[in-house]
Amino acid sequence: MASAPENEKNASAPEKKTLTLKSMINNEEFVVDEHVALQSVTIKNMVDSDCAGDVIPVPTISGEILALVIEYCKNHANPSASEDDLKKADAGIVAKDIYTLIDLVLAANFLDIKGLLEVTSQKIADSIKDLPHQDVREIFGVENDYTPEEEAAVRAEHDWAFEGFP
Amino acid sequence: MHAVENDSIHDVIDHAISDYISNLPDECLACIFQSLGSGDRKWCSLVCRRWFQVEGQSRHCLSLNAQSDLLSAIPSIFSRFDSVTKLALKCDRRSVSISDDALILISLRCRNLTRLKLCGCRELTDAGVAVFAKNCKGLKKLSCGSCAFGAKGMNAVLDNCSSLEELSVQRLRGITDGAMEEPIGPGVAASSLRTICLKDLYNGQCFGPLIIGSKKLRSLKLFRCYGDWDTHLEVIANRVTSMVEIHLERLQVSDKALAAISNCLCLETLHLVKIPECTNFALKSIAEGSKLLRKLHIDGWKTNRISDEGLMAVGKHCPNLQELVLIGVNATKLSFRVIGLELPKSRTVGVVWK
Repeated sequence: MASAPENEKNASAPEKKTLTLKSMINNEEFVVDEHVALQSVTIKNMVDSDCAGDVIPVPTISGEILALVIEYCKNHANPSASEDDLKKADAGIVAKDIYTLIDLVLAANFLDIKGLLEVTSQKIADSIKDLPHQDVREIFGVENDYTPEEEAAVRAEHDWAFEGFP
Repeated sequence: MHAVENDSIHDVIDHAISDYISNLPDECLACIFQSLGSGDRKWCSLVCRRWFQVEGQSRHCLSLNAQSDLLSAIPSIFSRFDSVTKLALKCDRRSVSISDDALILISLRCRNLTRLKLCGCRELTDAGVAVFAKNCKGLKKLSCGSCAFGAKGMNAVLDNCSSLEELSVQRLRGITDGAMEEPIGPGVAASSLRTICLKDLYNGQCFGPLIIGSKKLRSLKLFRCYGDWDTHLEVIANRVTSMVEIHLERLQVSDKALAAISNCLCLETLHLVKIPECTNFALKSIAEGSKLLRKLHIDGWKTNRISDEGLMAVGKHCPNLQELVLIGVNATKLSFRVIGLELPKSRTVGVVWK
């Protein structure tokens, strides 16, 4: 606990610095403490190399998604949050429909936030666990571009595979 | 009419979400696959060509049915899974396993292999394993059970794989068949090995040079390895003092050899399971030497040779003890009182006494 204010001070020396993130999709702006925004490796690299102006434009990410990303970063930048708190908070953030989850994966990937990418991918993976490929196709609306022969060949190869490892 | 309208709405949604998922870069799709088990990954690869490709390229662990006719499927399997670093080849007892040519072909396809598990690959010989070892020098873990190659193959691995950290061998028939006991190791791998586990071996003593040469060894486990281990264990305990974990089970060793374990000053975990000759003498010596002991499991096998005397020494000399499991040991209230008194109160000592 004692180190909490210290961390904050270090991250935002000499005074609390903020950054403005702007969604280029709907021009929504978010003012964020710098140490929160720095959870994103992409933004950190921009700041470190002095490429970040007062307003950092974020292309391809909507304001709605950006708000979720910032919520995640705030939670994880809080040094007094316990692991349990973070788990609960993460679960709340990814309790979304599949569209939002895919957008979140894209945002986490673009902004390079490893933890967010992992929890979101896990959530999507959970939604297709134990489902046959036809159902997976349906959930994601993926078109089957296999010929029947190709699909049979892939299946045949699976006969060689044991289920688990090791 | 209603149905038609619903259908078209469905089409719109399908189309929209299909754009969504196709927007995902390969690395994100791979990240989702990473969170799935092997069975689910199989289903995913059947979804469409792109998923097939991404799934194959992002698969690091593969477990294959190692029957002899796997050979013909190897080129296509390993073109599909071209980033495999951990491979298991398992053959059931009733089938004829892959032979050397298959293992060699795999080694040429997977030069970056870090982990190999062989189970029941009885047709593999020393020659095949030797070529494999030359092609996959980056191997970190090797585990083989119910195989039939012998000391030469094992030595080839140890001479080539300079990053080997873990070696696990169970029922290796090749080292029993030869009339002469051929020594195994140390080889270049001895300088990197951290864990050695030997199970159900005849002539397992031929691994002696390897164990003694492994100066960084942290964990040694010997289960049901037949024959006399007396001199071997004594030399091992005198020379390989870096060990933090020792597990001995159903091993023929004398009290004197066991007492030598006290040379392992860093020892934290010790399992002495069904070692008939273990007495209070050995336990006392170990307690006096290995003062950092945290976990101690003893199965006395009802031979009544370990009692309060040995356990009280543990209580007296091992202040870090956190876990004590006693099975078939003659302990009375007396030793538990000493263990309770001598150990700092802040520590919790869990005792399971069967």
